[in-house]
Amino acid sequence: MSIAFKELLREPRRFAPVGGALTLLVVLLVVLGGFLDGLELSLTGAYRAHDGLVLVFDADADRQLQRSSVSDDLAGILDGLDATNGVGSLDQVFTVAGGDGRGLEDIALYGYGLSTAVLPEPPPPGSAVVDAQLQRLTDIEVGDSLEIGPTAEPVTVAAIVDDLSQGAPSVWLATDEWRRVVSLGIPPALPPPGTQHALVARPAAGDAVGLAAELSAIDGLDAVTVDEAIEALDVVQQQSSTFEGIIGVTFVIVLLVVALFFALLTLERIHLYAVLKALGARTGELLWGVAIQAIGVSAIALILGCGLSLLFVVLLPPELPLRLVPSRVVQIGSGTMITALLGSLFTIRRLLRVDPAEVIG
Amino acid sequence: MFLSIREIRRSPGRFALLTGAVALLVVLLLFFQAVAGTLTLGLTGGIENNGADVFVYSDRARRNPAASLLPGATPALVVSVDGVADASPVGRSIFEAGGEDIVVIGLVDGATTGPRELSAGRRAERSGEAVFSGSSLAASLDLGQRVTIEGVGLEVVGVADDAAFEVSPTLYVAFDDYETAVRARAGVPVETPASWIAVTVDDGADPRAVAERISAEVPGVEALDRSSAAAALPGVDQITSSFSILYLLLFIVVTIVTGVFFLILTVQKERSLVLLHAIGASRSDVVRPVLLQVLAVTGLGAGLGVGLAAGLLAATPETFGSSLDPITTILTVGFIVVLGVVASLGAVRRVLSVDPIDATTAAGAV
Repeated sequence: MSIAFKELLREPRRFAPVGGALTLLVVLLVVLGGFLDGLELSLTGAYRAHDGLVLVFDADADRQLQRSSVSDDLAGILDGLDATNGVGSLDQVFTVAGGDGRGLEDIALYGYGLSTAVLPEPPPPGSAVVDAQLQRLTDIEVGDSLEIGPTAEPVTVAAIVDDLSQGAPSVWLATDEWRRVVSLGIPPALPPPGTQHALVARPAAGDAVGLAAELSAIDGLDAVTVDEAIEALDVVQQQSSTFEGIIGVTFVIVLLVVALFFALLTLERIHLYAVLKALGARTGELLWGVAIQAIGVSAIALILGCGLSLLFVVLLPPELPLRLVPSRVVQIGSGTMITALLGSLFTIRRLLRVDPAEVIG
Repeated sequence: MFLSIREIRRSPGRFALLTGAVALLVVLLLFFQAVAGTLTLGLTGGIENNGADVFVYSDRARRNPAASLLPGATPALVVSVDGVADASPVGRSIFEAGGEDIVVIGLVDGATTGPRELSAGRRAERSGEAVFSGSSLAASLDLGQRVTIEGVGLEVVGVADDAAFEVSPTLYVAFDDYETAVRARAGVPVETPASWIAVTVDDGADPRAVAERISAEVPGVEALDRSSAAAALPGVDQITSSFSILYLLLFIVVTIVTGVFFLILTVQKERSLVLLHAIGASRSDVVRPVLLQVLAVTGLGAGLGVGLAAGLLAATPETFGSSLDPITTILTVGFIVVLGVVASLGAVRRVLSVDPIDATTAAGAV
């Protein structure tokens, strides 16, 4: 076991201050990452429900669902293509739902015509599919009644699916039922007769990218994969770039804190390093020792920070858009370790200048 | 003074690292505050800077203007409530124009139910005219610019600051134009109910009391005074809570990092402090340099942070759309400096606990 590692074990108090600061920085990073993922997931659920399929917008709509208007004629043409194995409409409007003793909640109300891996077959008239987020907020169950829109159109919950929030919890109706409910409650939001906001096409060969390219060649259409549709959401892109920038700055702070601490520690041990050098230790070995300590401290800070973050997130109100995604935590963990390692290397200049002759000087 | 400055001069690297860390933390704090402020104003500006005193929504709208639709008879019922001077229907919908989503607000009476003040131009007086208000996060329209919404041609005749809805470009137009655009989009002559009723109260009447009376007396509605309506808008609470969490974490990190740094620094120079005490230095002689260094590092770090944040926001208005609010900035800098001083109390305690007798022992002897 190296001297550096032994020092970590024997004198944990020496490393406690930097460990504490790093733990808090890990909490900050994990919470920031949680907001980044929470915001993105809560704005893209309806699109993600169509993973593996192709979303078809009007070519002038900039891939924005509510700006798009695709005619029934085009839907018929797409349905007749060999490359498609089913085409359905997709319509969206934002309204409220509740009733039956429950409070009202803002919802995104979708009309759809094609089942997916997440969405079941469109429910019969008078029935709706609701997502898990609405269930969390209202305690609604299958078979319960739900009143939709300003005119409180009653529907019965036929199924509950994963959280498919897209700016609000989602409720899904069959296309004709959606038009009926919207025409009664929110007539200004109704697409013109014979049109829908967008289409969803299932690729016959399972190749969504190929089908999207083929359908985009049709005049007036812009067909994209789900990932491309998400990328086109300005608000998602803006939020992602902002939070990624903030996370980047936080990593720079981690770098500075680690560099600062180990610079002070090196200064304190300069005579010890001179002795080690006089005994034959090379600068690389001393640097390796500092690096091991930085990695050790950051690993402990990571474990503590992740634990504290979990506790912190549990205590936050559920309506906050914060979700801890394992891949993001792993990303932050590896980023912290690498940054701590880099920070510890700031001591290299001072270690190079350690003169073994000082021991006898 | 002499000792503290000499020490900073002799070890510029370590003080520069801490100053850099504090500066970056201040950048993050100010950046969060600027973005949160812009987002909140972009959401609430249309209500906060509106001429109406009370906003009447459908009771199924959850106080959300975007979800509210009211029957045509509502204005007549509202105006009959005691304390109401005027009640005017307002329509709201989102349209696409020039590749942008634009919130269109249809007004029957633009003088009292639109933005309270204009920064340029005049109010829309007839069909085909519009008043524009934007959020700094969204595209802007200039005075005299023409826009077509679902075939309805509009000319921007006035501009209002901070009176946008939903963090989007917002056009205040005549209700007739709004109705025409809604029907053109629907492709059929659909009904275009009001989204909310804008109420002006009688002189001297309390808007909150009038709102309560309207909610009680008119069936199917919920009325709110201006500040309550702004606070109840969807997203405002979420933004406030989310950013508050981040502020809290950042303030804690600033405190811990500053405190830890000065504590380590004090421990490292404990022998010198013992000697200083032994040769007659008073408590204040040894504490003052620590406090001066804390003030210098946090003050300089905060100053650098303010400069960096202002530069960053000025360089990327289209991305972050914000500028620093002077009062918030001053308060933040002040708070950071105070937290720095509080954080250094551990170091000060350590300095005060130094015993001059240690100078005569083997460990303390120099």
